[in-house]
Amino acid sequence: MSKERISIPEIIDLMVKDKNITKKTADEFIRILISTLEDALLSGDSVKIKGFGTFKPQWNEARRSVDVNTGNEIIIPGYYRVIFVPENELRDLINEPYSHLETILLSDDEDVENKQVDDQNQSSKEDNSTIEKSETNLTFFSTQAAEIKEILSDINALSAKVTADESDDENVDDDDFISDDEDFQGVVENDDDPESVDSEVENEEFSDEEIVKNISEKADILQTKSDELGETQEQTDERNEKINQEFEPQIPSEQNDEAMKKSSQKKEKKDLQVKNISENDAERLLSSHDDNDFDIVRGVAILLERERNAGIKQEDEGIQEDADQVVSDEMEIDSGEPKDDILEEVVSDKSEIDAEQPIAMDEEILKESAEADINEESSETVESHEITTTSEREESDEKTPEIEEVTETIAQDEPVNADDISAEIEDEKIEEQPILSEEEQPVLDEEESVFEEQPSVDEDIESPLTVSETKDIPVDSESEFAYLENEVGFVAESNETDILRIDDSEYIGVIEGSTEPDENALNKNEIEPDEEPDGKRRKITGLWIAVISLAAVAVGFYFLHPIVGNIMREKKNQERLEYIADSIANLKKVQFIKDSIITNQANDSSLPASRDSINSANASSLTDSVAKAPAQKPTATKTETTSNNTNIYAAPRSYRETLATEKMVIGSQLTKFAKKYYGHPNFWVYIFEANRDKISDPNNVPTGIDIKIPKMNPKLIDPLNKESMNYALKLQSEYLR
Amino acid sequence: MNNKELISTIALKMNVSKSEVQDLVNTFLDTCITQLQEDNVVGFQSFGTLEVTKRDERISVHPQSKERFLIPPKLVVNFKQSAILKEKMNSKL
Repeated sequence: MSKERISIPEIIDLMVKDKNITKKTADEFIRILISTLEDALLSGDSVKIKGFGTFKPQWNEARRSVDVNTGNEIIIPGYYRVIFVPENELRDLINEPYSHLETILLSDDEDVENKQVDDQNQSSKEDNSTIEKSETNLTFFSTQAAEIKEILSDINALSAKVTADESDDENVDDDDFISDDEDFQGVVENDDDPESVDSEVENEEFSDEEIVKNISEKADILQTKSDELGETQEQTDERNEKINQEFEPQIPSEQNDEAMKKSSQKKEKKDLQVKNISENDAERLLSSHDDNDFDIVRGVAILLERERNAGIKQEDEGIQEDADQVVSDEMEIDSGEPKDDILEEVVSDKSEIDAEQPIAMDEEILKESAEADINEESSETVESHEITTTSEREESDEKTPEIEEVTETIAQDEPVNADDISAEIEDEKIEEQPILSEEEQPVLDEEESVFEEQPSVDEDIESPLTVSETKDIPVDSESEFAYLENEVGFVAESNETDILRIDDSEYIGVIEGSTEPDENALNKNEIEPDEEPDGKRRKITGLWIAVISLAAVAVGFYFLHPIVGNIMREKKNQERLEYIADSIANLKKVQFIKDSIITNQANDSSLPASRDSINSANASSLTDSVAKAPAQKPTATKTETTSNNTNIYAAPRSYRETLATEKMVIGSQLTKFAKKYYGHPNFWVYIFEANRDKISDPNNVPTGIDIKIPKMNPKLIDPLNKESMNYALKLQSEYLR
Repeated sequence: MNNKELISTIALKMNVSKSEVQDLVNTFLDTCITQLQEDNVVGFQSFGTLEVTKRDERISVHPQSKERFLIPPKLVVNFKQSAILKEKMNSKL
């Protein structure tokens, strides 16, 4: 770590250098700034500098501590301190190297493993100088080359499995196989050979060999070019480790080499693409490699394409089957090699090259890499790549256009190694056209033109061209469409097949001549399930649905709230009315009783009963008094009880029926009786009510009297029913007042 | 004091326009921030230093849900006041 201390004069120098500020002004400014800060802080005022942060004085309270020398307890007195709180912008800016990290929720066993890895990478990154970074490139590429070789061996195994008619193939020109960019031309020409076009599926097998050879050659190229790359091993490690890591901002010593410049440019483009592509950041990272990988992968991919196309030329179905078989064969070869990463990287690099057609690039690269990929892993990543690219280009997911796009994009590549290859590929395409039938030409031309016109990643821009074209031309042969459909579907499913399919689709149109470009485009537009766009669309639509539903709910609440409130109010009013009716009835009973009392004033027994009844009228225990004067109003109670079906608690209780009779002795309590007969001591209130004539004060029940235990409505004495409990408690509080 | 007051105070003392002062401030901050990004220590004599330090990752527990979180490492900018400033502060305040 080389932490230099920058002092004021140095800052002045830096200030003077960039802008047209005199040294004197800068010096004066800094001095005055510092003094102003100090003055403000010394007066207890905090100073906020916009875009930087706040300096503020902070008071630290006195605290207990220990004297270091004597070990005695000491109190550190309170003091003021100047602290600096950075602004959010500054904070993010400084934390740039770690900005991709987020806090994660740990399961019980999880530990800091992942973060430690990041940590190491980060620290290593911090420590690296550009020189150090360049040293790691070699190691990285050598490992990649080793991986490629492993993959090649797998391919060889695969090709060995396939039937061996390779020698017969005209396309089989091992010698012609490209070890350099120049050689591509030769390969391309071979593919263009019309005879080879008619050749059997054998070409596919042969293509495997070719692919293997090409890959091996490319691996060698990788090795040689390893010096050119300027990425740190650590960065690559990080990429490999963190799938979700964003593209690292740091780009090592690229500026030295052209290749590195290009890679940096590519990376910049890639950054743009990364931003455009919502998914698969990890893949982007992986693919954020450099030219070398790109070349190799591209070459391999191209070879694979060629071979596949050659094989496909026979029939739609035949080609399909062949492609399937080849794909399946290739898939069997899964070795989980990191070569996929390399390929992906190359592919991604390729995508970087063409800023104008990033989507096309991505697709092509994906397809190419998929071809070369034997690994399932790579296939997955390719798939994701493809998905991302397909998402970018909703309507034109065809493989053939992609291939042509690739050629187009390649043509537009900057002067890199890839240029040669791309030029060759273009030439190849061009050569193919005259060879093929006229119909084939327009197919290619249209597709190419379509893609040439695609200026940007914007799908909309691309689609109108293709869509319009496709719409105009009617579908010709079902078989072709079926093939394309299958192709498209297949593409969505697996990576490896994608590339093959691309070739197949392309060649179907080209070879057979019957297919029109529009058809293909149409098929692809219609059929191809853009997983990612669909996914994106689905996501977006899902989001929209959620938003709209929420809005509807909110609106519903807004509108219905008053209605609901009214309904509630009405219910409450009903209840109140009932209660009022009950109370009115009670009052009437009271009146009646009163009248009866007045008429029967001589009757002493009725007086206390009536008093009780009057007192307890409001407590809806009118039935008690009524029971006391049962002769007068037996019917009333009955009617009342029956009329209060809706509200048991408001109903006046009649205690005419008794469960049992208990004698009050010393030590007996109403609560005990309640618990015995009703199951909960809280229900003593009902026993009290039933014996009000005998008990005036529930706290002081006279001994020696007989208490009758009334038979209660079970709902009222249900200890499990909250309402009954609450009601009993309410009565209890009332009586205990 | 907020940014505006600061600018006006400096403009007053320097006898230059506020916009100029703002430009100066911006330049000054840019240079400081660049230096900080390059992991250098920016020091002001008798005032303090600005430095970038790394905070290691740590495991913290949410008190209610008892969930354990792994907080990633991060770089923060630190200001360390100079002793002279501290003295001044405590003698005056």
